[in-house]
Amino acid sequence: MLLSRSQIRRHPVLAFLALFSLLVAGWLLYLNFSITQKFDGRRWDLPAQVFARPLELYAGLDLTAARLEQELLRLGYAPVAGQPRRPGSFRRTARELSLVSRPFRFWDQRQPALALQVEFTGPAIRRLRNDKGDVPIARLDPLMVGSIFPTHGEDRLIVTPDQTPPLLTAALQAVEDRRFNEHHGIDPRALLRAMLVNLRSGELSQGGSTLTQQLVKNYFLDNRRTLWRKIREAAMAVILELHYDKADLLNAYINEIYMGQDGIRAIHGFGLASQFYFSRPLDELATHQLALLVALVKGPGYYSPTRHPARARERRNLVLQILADDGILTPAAAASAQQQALDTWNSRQAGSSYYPAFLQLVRQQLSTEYRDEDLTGAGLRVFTALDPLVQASAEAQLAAGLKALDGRKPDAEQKLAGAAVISSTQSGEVLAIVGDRRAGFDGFNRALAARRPIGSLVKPAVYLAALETGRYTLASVIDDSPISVPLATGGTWDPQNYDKESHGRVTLLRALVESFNLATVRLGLEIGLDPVADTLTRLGGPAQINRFPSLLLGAIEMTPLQVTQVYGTLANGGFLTPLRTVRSVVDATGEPLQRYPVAIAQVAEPAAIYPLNQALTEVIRRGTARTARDQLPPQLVAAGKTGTSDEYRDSWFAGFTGEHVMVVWVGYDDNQPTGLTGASGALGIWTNIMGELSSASFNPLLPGRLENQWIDYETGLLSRPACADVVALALPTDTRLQSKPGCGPGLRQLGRRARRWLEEKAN
Amino acid sequence: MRTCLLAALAAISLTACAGTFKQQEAPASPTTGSGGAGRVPDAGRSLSPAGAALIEESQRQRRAGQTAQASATLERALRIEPEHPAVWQELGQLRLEEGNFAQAEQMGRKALSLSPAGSLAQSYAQQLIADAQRAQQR
Repeated sequence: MLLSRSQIRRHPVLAFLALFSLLVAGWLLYLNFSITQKFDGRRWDLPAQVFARPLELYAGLDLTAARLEQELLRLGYAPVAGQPRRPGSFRRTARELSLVSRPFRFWDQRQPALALQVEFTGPAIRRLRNDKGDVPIARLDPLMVGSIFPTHGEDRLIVTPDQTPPLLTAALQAVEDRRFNEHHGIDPRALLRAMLVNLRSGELSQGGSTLTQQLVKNYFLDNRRTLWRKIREAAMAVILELHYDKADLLNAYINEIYMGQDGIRAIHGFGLASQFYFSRPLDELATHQLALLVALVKGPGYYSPTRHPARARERRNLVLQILADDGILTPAAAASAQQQALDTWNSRQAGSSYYPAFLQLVRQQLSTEYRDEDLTGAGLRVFTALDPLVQASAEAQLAAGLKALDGRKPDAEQKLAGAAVISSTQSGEVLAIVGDRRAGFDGFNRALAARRPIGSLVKPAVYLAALETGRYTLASVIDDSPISVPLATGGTWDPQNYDKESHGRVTLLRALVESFNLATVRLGLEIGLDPVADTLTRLGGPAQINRFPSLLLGAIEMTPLQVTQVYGTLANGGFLTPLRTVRSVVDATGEPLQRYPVAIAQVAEPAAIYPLNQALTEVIRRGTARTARDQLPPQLVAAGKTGTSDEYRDSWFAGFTGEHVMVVWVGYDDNQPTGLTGASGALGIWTNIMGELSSASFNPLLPGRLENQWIDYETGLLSRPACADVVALALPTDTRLQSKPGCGPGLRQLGRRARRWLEEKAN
Repeated sequence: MRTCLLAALAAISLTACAGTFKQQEAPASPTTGSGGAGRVPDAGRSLSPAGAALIEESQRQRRAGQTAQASATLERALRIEPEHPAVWQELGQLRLEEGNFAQAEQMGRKALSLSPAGSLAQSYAQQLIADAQRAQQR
């Protein structure tokens, strides 16, 4: 067409040139297609951002000034000397903390920046006000705790041009590409200079790449330094410059460039880098912090501020020097910035900045409603219940506790593993998840995935099933003598007590509080395995439960998360509240997509749950968990149960206060015996975490038709406070009990009973 | 009318809380669940200003037809006042309005379980349960 056969024969050079330019044109077209597709496509590939709960400030909140300061530093608020004026700054004095919050778009409303004064009295906020008067309640902006990034690991947080400090764009051009505004994608002068340097040194060390070329290079993440790659890069850079204007390219660069590595997560762009290194938004960074980020562009690993601080500092100061030389900064400003420390966020100060264990559950719960590509690419914002302060306590205490337990067995071949889940008692929100002793570990998450036998944690279900028959109270007496259970498969099952002793006839209360196996097996067989299994399922346990007699002693596997669900139902007075991590999801523009409102279902009788919970508080007061009593704050009423599986393979403690439900598991990953009981292993960790939470006491309302009676702990007979070993136990008002000899009800009690009797007759 | 209800609920102190879950020495004379609120010494638990402010805000949002926001605001209140029947009562009323009768009933049951015997909160909760049950049968 272009050339006829005869023409080719006559002009072979011309023909070759024509063919060559055809090939080049095709290649350029191909490049054009792939680079523009990449560029346009990338604008949409935004991992969902995940936020922690916002801290609500109000008068009466149990929060010390130190804890609030910790939260603010965690949010990257800058401490200032004078009155704070800029959003994201605060000042703490002896009894007060003043702050200006950042404006934030919550899922339910937009909150502008607020100037607030917080007054403290010891452990609580006494008053919250602004310059106009008292403020009933205000939210801080929530911490961004991570994102749901695709499997290739690229994570980023997009910033728009108006969120980009002018100093950053100026510094990038000064340091990386002086003629950015003049060239058309490649800078021949810079290339020439680089080639000369390379020729002299004999290696390809100098780049001479424009910002546009660097952007292209980042798109294809190809680090081989070949000539062919260079040519392709240059061609694509020119093509990009033809299609898009400089501002677009610069914004793409700022969001695209690789800025560091955090495990499998690759930090891309200045927006996320600012959060990752300084825990604050890009437009709040100080000069020396921006300079460090610009310094990192050249090699985030090589200049890593954590691994090579001296190197990082030297390069940062070089960047500042260039800025001063170019007149972008005054010499004085540059010099003072050069004096600053590196100042990166120290993750050890208050726990890690990234919570993969919690994120796994978030992702799991969202995956039923969202496609993977929506989560990793559609720029959703996910608001969760994660409490970073609780999470930090749990991570630190689990790690310290396991280390101490390992220390007791120095010749052990492996280290103990552990997990912890903490939820809020009434709303069922998951506040913290620790799935490994290493905080921030992104791997096997024992809190969600380790299914282990629960041992005596099952017992509350046995006793609840018994109470719900109406045939027993906790003052009823049961035999704790040895029992041999014939099995359907032939043979017998001969359970034993922990101390290998029989305790004779004991109250249900004592059998639960001291976790007697024989009495529990007898009770369970009397009421039947079906009601026990059904009760456990009803409370939030597994839907399918094998009905073997060994179920009565907890030969059933559950994850720490499932146990949290079951104990949450107990803590909640018999209301099942499905555990939730996500409060709300909004789309990239801030419009709510989905809410996850609290949902509840009454699954157990209050009249049975209340005394059961009384017994669980006795577990800590006098039972298998009594060592916790002295470790907990003296006024804190807590309830719980120890669990130990066969041959000490699993050590559990599950318990709750009025505010928190917490489950701790300790064991070896390969299921070897640990030698630990629930009390000697998990309980100590549970207690240490709970001690740091300033939790509210467990203090439910006594349901109607129940009445608190003083009961003799050993015999279940009616007694009175003056007699030894009494406990208060809620019993149905129509319960008729004999009195312990010499300890019958006093006159006052008789009087009260008579009065009530009269009232009942009158109604 | 709703503000009246709120005021009434806020005024009810949750007196019967003085149960046996306090430390062992606390219940010198065990209380009874069937006793009226007025006869037990006041344990002094009323709605906090923060909780009250949020409930009022949710009522404003509800009147403006913003039920989703009202629900979100009530859940903020719930985190601050998880054991106050007023919050559950309001949530239940909202669910009733949204046509979620099963949850309305459950919220009513929760409010009931937190209301002292003979209190105004108790009768409101019983009313809510009855309304929700009637709506479910329809």
